[in-house]
Amino acid sequence: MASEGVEKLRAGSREELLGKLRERIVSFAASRIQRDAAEDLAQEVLILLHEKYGHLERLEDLLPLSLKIVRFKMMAFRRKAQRRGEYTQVPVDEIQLTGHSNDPFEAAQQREMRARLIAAISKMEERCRKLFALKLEGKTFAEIQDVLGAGSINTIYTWDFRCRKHLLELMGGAWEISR
Amino acid sequence: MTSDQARKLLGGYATNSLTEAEKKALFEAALDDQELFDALQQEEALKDLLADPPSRTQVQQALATPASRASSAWWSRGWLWGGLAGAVAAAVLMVAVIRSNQQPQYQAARLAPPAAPIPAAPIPAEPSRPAVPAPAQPKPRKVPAVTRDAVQTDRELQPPATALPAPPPPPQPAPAAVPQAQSFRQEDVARARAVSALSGALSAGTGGIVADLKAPLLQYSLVKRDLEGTYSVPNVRPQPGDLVRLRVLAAVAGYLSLAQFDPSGGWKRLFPAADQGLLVAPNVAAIIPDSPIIVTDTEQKFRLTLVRADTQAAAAPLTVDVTIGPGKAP
Repeated sequence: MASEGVEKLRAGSREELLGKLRERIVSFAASRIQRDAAEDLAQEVLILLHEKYGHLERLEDLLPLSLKIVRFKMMAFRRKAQRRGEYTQVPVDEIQLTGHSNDPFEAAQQREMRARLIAAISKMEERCRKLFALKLEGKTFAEIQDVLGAGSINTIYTWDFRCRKHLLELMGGAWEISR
Repeated sequence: MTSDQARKLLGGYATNSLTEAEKKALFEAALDDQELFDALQQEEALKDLLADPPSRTQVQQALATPASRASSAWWSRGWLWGGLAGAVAAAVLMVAVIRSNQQPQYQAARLAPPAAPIPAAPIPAEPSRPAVPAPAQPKPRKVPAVTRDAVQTDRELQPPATALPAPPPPPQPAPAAVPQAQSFRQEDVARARAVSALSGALSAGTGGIVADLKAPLLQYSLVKRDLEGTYSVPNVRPQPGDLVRLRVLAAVAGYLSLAQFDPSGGWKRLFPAADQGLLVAPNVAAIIPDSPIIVTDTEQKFRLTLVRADTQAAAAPLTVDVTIGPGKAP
């Protein structure tokens, strides 16, 4: 009886969590694609979370997972729209044939972003570069605080927030170039 | 943790630097804050990139390389200089565009002052003669927005040494005898009045009053015939097939003529057909030639010549070369 209640509570909280997630995903996607398409996309994400990741219940698992799925779905949506020629009509004799290597579009996009990121990094202040390097070494903010000798962890949070903001500005306001 | 505090954790998401507690705080805040959720969603791109080992290594190498001295000194900030350079370039471009669009575009000729002042010829006293209105002394006229390239220097204004035939012959010494009807183009009442005054003044022997004038003496602009047959300053550069004429303004009285360069035979008089040039009064525009010039695919070269009516300067005609071609502003 008690375990049933816990299960119900868990199920209820998961439903609630997914409901909120859906709301966020729809709003995010609708700011980039059409509303009905955004709702379809959110629905597909939730179906995937339900069918394939039904065992995950914690927010710390579900939210990053949904972020990743949304990203992939958005990219797939754009690719599909481009294939259909919704934005750009390409003459049939200029259509590029599909290659057999791993997704050249994603590879090119990542290559481009990497180049922009490296260029932006070279313009960052020394402290920001150091902080970023420490993060990439896998250190937590608490460990970074020790290395940099900051008085409190909030100082590190603030530094990182400002450095991230500056880096994002150096990259033109977004990590990826919107297409 | 408030939403603002949680926002400071964003930078740790892509690099996977957050502890479990920090992640939880960030995600909970994102679930209730759409803006934070969107920011988190955008961080996915960076997270993806840094999850790729070769990319992560490259970024780490870039971080290990000494910075390109991105100090906080304002003079060493590339973006600042880039912005300044961009602003300057934009300003220069704007000025260039504005000046190139200014119409009419005049080309001005300038006469050097004479080497030694020559005393004016004495005017015979004729007390019984009715007073002739003396012509207003031509004042140095301001040339509106003369582009640097459009102003020809004295040296450029000298007639070619040998290759080209000499400009039209100097005028008759006694212009009063010139029949006005022969070459005058009656533009308007003011012009006729000015020419009349000029004739009177010349007959009274007042030539030379502008001998030491330093202002641009000859200015011209291109006018194009529209569908109704009227001529106006075009807003665009001439195109093949356009019918154009030259609006010429002289600061001194003189005889104006137009010649066209013929590659086979040198300069050939185009206007007026007779040897005598068109007598023009100071600061009164004349539109020449009678028949419009048809703009062709190739450039056509013309030479404007003004032989001053005052006898003292008769030996120094002013010439300005004009090139008319498609897309070319003379």
